Amino acid sequence: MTGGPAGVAQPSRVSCESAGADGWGDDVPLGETAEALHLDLSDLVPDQVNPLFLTRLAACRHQCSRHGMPLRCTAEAPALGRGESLIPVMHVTDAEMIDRVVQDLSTDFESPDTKVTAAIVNPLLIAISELGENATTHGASENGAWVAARHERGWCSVTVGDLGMGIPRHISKRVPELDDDGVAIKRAVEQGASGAGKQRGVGYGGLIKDLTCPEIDHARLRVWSGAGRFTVAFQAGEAVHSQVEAVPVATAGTWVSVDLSSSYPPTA
Amino acid sequence: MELKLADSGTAFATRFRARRMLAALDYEPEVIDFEGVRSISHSFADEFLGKILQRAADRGRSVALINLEGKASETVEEMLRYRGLDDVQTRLAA
Repeated sequence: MTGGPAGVAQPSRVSCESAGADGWGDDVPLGETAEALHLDLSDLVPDQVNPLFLTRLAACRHQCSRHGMPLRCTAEAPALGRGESLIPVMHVTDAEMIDRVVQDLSTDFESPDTKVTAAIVNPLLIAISELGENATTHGASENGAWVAARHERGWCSVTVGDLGMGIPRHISKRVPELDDDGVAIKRAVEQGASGAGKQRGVGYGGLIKDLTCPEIDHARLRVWSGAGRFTVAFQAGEAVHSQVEAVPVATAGTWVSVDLSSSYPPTA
Repeated sequence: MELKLADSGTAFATRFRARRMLAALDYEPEVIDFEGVRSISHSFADEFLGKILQRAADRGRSVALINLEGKASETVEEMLRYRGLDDVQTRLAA
């Protein structure tokens, strides 16, 4: 939110940086409570808007509507880049909807024009089913979840986000001394991957196993929850980079983005 | 009796789908055929196959898994190890 005269709400301007391939969509505010917003979407380039940004935008609309707060947009929200959407932004509220998304994606992804292979689509299905089902059936989020996926020249990106409790608060129930949100997310992801967590072999564990399979050349998992972010990148089945970040403005819920490709990093 | 998974689709990914298929299954399969299955998640494998195989193991019966290949095979094998059914599976496959 930009500053302004006291008592006068100024528009919250959305920048293209937050919407691009490496953006976190952090220009779209998703706080614990909704507030009146004026989003300027006129600078967005539809072909370069990532699913993370668009799902957060949809959740922001939902949050404002649910709390009776006005949300005004200067321009229409762009759709996922022209004809390259695997899944448009969808608000899924129960497991049956998640299953329908998975079935549609599994039958629709192959076409002569795409380089999307079964090896690539499998992690997408895992991400949507595991993360989406958690958000809609375990009481993690009474608002359901938002899902979107796109492909472009052999790379795919999928986002599953919700407005639930979030990973850090969930972890703090078991480990109250852990007060760094980014570290809490890293621990949750790594416990899933190592099988040390309660739900061995599912959730992040199943997802990371698929991201490190030999058929995937490059992959990246990004998780934003609370005031922390965790990124881990894989190349040829090995983790080549990971980063924990603290962010000044916390997000409500948990936002997970998976990018994978045979020619990473994706070029717009 | 044989259960052909492909009769119900090619991608199996949610616990919801697993529970729905289990509820609709009115027999105890002796063979589960994976031919034509393109994708199977850990959650589905645990909720559907795990419960069928656990039930069979508890009753001393065998279930053969056929045409199980690639990533789906890895997923099912991991689920069997997690449930402690890998020894049972070896016996079943023999």
